[in-house]
Amino acid sequence: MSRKNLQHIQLKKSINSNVENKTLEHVNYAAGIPPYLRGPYATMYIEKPWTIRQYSGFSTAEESNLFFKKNLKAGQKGLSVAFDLPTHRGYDSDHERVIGDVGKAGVAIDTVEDIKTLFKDLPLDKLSVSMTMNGAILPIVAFFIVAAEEQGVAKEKLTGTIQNDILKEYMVRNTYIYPPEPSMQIVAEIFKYTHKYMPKFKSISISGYHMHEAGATAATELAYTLANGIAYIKTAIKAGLEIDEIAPSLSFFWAIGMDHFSEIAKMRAARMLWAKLIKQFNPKNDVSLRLKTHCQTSGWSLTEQDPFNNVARTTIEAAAAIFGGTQSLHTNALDEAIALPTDFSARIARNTQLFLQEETQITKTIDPWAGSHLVENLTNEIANKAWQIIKEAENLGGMLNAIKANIPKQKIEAEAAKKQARIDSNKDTILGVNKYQLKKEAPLSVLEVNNTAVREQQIKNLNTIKKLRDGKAVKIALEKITTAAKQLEKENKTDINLLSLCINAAKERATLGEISYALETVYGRHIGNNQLISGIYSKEIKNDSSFNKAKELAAYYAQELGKKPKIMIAKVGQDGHDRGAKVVASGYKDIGFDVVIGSLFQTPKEIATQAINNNVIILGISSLAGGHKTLAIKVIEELQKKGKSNIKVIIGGIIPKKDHQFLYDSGIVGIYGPGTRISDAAIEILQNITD
Amino acid sequence: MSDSNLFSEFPEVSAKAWKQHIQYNLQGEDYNEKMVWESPEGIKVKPFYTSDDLKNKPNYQVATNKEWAIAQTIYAGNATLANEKALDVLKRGTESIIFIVPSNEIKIEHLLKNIYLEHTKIYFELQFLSLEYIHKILNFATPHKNSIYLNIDIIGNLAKTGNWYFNLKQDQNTLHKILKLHTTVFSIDTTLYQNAGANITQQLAYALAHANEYLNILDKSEVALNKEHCFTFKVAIGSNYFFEIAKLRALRLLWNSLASEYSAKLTCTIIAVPTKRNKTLYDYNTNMLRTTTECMAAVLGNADVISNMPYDSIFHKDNEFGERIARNQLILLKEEASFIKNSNAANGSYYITSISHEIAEKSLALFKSVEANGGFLKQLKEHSIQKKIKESALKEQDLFDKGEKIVVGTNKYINEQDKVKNNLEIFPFVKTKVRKTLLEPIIEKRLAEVIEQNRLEDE
Repeated sequence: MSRKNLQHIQLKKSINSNVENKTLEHVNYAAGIPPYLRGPYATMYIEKPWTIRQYSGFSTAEESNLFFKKNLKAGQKGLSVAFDLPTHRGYDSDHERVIGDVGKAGVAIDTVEDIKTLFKDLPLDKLSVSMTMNGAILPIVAFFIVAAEEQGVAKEKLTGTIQNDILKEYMVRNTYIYPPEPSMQIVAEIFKYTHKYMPKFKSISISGYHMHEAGATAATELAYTLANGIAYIKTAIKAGLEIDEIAPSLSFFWAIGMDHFSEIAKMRAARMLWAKLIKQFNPKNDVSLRLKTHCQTSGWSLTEQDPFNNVARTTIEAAAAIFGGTQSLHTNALDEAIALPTDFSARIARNTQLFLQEETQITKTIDPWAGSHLVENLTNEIANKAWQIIKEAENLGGMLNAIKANIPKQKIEAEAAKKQARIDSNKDTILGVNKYQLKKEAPLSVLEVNNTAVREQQIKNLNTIKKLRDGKAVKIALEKITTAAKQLEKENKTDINLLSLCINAAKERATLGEISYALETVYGRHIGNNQLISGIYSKEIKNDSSFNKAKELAAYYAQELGKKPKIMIAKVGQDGHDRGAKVVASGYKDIGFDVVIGSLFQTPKEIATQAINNNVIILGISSLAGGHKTLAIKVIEELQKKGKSNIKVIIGGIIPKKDHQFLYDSGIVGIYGPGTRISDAAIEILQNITD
Repeated sequence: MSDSNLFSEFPEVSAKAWKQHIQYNLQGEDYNEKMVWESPEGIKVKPFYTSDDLKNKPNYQVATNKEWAIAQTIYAGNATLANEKALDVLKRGTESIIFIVPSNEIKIEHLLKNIYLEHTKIYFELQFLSLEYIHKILNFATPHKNSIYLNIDIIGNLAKTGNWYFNLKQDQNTLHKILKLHTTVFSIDTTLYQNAGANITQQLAYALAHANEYLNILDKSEVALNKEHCFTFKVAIGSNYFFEIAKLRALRLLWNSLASEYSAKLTCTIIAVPTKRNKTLYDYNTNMLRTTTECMAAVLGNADVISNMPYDSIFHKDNEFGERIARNQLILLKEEASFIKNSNAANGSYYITSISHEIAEKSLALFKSVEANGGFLKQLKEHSIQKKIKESALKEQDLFDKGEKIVVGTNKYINEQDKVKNNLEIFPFVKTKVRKTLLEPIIEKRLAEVIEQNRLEDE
C-alpha cells in the first residue's frame, strides 16, 4: 500500500489565536528581585521546596507531644501549635468562665510546665516552632523561652514564628484580651525583646487567614492584612527599631480557598503591594521589601457532609498555595471541619503535600502560571482593588482607627452575608450541602475530647505547682509586671520590657492566668462592638422562594401579634469565631425578625439573663468549638431556674449527628448544622412558635 | 492613583538579570546542573520562563467556549443494572456516559432505556466488532444519533490483545461499512501506551501514527466523507502536572497539522482519564490525591470529556463510594473551584506554551520516524513499538526501584501498619498467563506491582 509522505509536516504557526493579549504593567518582574511578583526567592522550590507545617493541637501537652514526634518521623519538618480557647483568652483552666472550653480546639497551657511537657525530648535548637498565639502572647512566649532554657537551649538559638497579630482579632477572630492600644504596646514589647535576644525567631505572622475564613474576598483579605502589617511596622519604628531591622522578620499567613486562580493571583499581588508599601519607609536592604508567607487551606470550604470530598478540596487549594509561591503550608484534614484530625485523616492531609512535592514535578520551575492571561489579569485586578481598600484605611488614619470605627469588621461581615445568600439561593455550589446531597451520611469516626477530664487534670497540675512554688516570689514578679505596664502607659521606656518581666514570673511558676491578670488590672478587658449589618443578605438572595416564604411568615406573625418575632443569637464560651452567628443574625434580620446579638464570651448564666432581659421568644446558640453538650444544656437549666422555659432554645453550628437525640431530650427544639439555609430554619422556627 | 502606574517605582527585570542574580547566588555552582531539570522525555525545564520564551513560538490558543463534560465509565455486563446506574449518576452530576460493553448479548434497548440522548452523549467501548450491533445502536438512538460516539479502534484492539477481532481484512471491511453509517466512529485509545509506561512524546507520536493508519484508510476509500468524520483520542493523564497539560495541548496542535494534510476534520474530541500506572494498593487514599491533580491537568489541557478513576478501582469491584468520590472530584473542579470558567487558564502561560511546543516538536519528529519506517501497523507487527515502550517503562521502573521516582506511601513515607491483604476484591497485578497471539500485545503495568507483591507476602 502506498502511503502519503508526511515528512514535510510542520507545526502550524497559529490556530484559534483570537484571544487578545494586552500587556499589563507588572508582568515583567521576577522572583528574588523587588517587587517579587514571581516569588520571594530567586530560585524558589528548585533549591528548597516549601516547608510542610501541619498545625496541630491536642487537648493536653502530653498528647500533642506524642503527635509531634509521630509527625516528625513521618516526614513533617516544622511544628505548629494550636492552643485551647482559655489559653488564648488569658484564663487558667480552673477559671469559672471557661468550664466548657478547656482543651477545646487546642492544647491547654497554664504554666511553663505544660510547655515543657509539650516539647519534651524535642530539640528546640533544631526545630522550627510556630505558635498561633495573639491575646496571651506575653505569658506564652515567656513560657517558651523558659522551657527552652530549662531544656538547655539558649533563647538566641530558638527558631520559629509566633502569630502575634492582634489587630485582626478585633476584626474577625475575637480572641483578644485587652483593648487595641495597650495590645499594640505589647506587640512593641515583643518586637524589642526578640530583636535584641532572639534573632532567628520571627516575632509576628500577619494573618489574612481568619479574614478569609470570616468571609472576606481575596482583595479585602489582602488589603486589610497588608494594612495591618504597616501598622506593626509603624509600631516597631516607634519602639526604636529601624525598618531594615523589623521588616525582614515579618511573615504573612494566607488562607487558600477554592477559587484556585484568584488565590494564585492574590499571593502574587500581595508580594508586589507589600514591596510598594515598604518602599515608602526607604529601606536600605532589598530583603526588607520581601513578603514571605505561610498558607493554610481553607477550613471554611470543608464540609461535614460527604467528608471525603474534602480530600480533593484540600488538594486543589494546596496546589494553589504552591503555585502562588508559599514558604510553608498546612493542609487540612478531611474531618477538620468537625473535629481534630485523627491519625488516619492527618496522614492523608500530610500526604497531600508529600504527593504534590514528590510526584507532580510542580517544583521544577518558578511561578509556573506566569504569563497566563487569566492569572496575570487577576493579579492586576486584585492588586488594584486591594490598593483602593488600603488607601481608604490610610485615609482614616491607619488600621487602628479603622478598627476602632469597626469598618473592616462590617465590610467582612457584609461579604460573608453576600456569600451566604449566594449559597442559600444555589447561585454558588457547595457540593453535598446545597447540591447532590446524600440521602444518608455514613458516620465518620472522629476524635472526641473529653474536656471535663482534661480540665480536671489541668486543675490538679495547677494546684500541685501552686503548692510547690514560692508564693511570695510569684507575687513580687507579678507586681513588677503591673507596675511596668502602668509606667509604659505613660511613657516610652527602654530600660524595662514586659516580656522580660513575664519571663521572670514564668520562672517562678506564675500561671498564664495570673500574668494576664497582672496586665488586665492596668489595661482592662476589651469589649467588642456588636453591630449587625442588614440589607446585604436580602439584596443578594432577591426572589428566592424559601426566603420569600420566610418573609411572609414573619410579616404574618408581626401582624397577628403586633410585634416582630424576637430572637437572640448568642455564642457561648470563649470561642470568638462569629461568622456563622453574625451571618445567621443578619439573615434573620432581613427576613423580618427583631434580632438581639449576644455579647461574646458569655457564660450560660449571662446568656440566659440577657435573653430574659430582652424578652426574646427564641434563643439561638451558636456552637463551634464543641461546647454544645456542656454549655447549651447549662443555658436551658438557667432559663428553667428563672422560670423562663417558655423561651425556645435552638442550636446552630457544628453538632455531630450522634449528639442530636441527647440535645432534643434536653429541651433543644431545633438543631441547624452547617449547610442549613437560613430561610428554611426561619420557616421552621416561625411555625414552631406559632403552633 | 491610576491602574497603569501602581508599581512604577520598580524597574522591569529582564530574564538575563534574573539569571545573573541566580548565578550570583549559586556561588560558582553550575547553573545547568543545579537549576535545569530534564524530563523523562529529554525536555529541559528551565528554572523560569518569561515572555522571551514565547517569541517565535506558535501562538497557540485553544477554542474558548467549549465546556468540558463529566463522564462516568460504566461496565455494562448486565444491561439493566448498567442502565440503572447510568440513570442514577446522571442525576448526580454526571453528564456523559462511557459504556464498556463486553459482548453483543447486551441488549442496547435495555442499556439506553430512558436516557435522554438529546442531552447526553454516550461513548461506547465495545469489546467486540459487529456491524449488526452498530446498526442496533444507531437505530435505537435515531433521531439523536449525534450523541453516540462509537469509538471503534481496531488497531488499538490489536495493540492491546495481540489479535485482530477477526483478521486484518475483515476488521477493515467492517470499519469501512461502519464509516458509511456514522461520523463519530474513530477512536484512538492512547491510554494503553501511557499505562504500559510510554513517555509523553511516545504517547503523542504513537497516537498520531495510530490515527494516521485510519487517515490512510479514510483517504483511500471515502474521500468525500473526510471532513465529516470526527476523531476521538482517549488519553491517560499522569502525575507530571504541567507536562500533562502541555501533552493535551500538544495533541491538538499535532492533530491539527496532520489532519490538514488529509483535509480531515481539524478538531478532535479528547477523552481524558487518570493513568493506572502510578496507582497503588498501599496507602490507597493517596490515589485520591493523584486523581485530583490528574483531573485538574485534564481540564486545563482542555480535554472535552473527563472520566475519573475511583481511588480503589485497581483492587475493589465497582462500588458506590469510590465512584461517587471520583465523580465529586470533577464536580468540585467544575462548580466550586471555577475550573469551568477558567479552563483556558493555560493560554499565555510562558511555561506551558514553551513545553507544549517542545513536546509537540519532539513528538512530531518521532512520528515522522515511525512513518519513515513504514508506519504504526508495520512497526507494531515488527514489535518495535512494543520494544520502545518497554525501554521507556524499564527506565521509569529503574528510577522507581532506586527511589529516584517517588510514589508516596509505596517507595517513600511508607505506613508500616497499612494492611490490604483482606481488602482485595480483584487481582491487582498483570496476569501472567500466556496466550498465543498474532503479535506481542502491549501490556499495562503499574510501577508498584513488585513492591506490593512482596509486601502482601509479608503481611
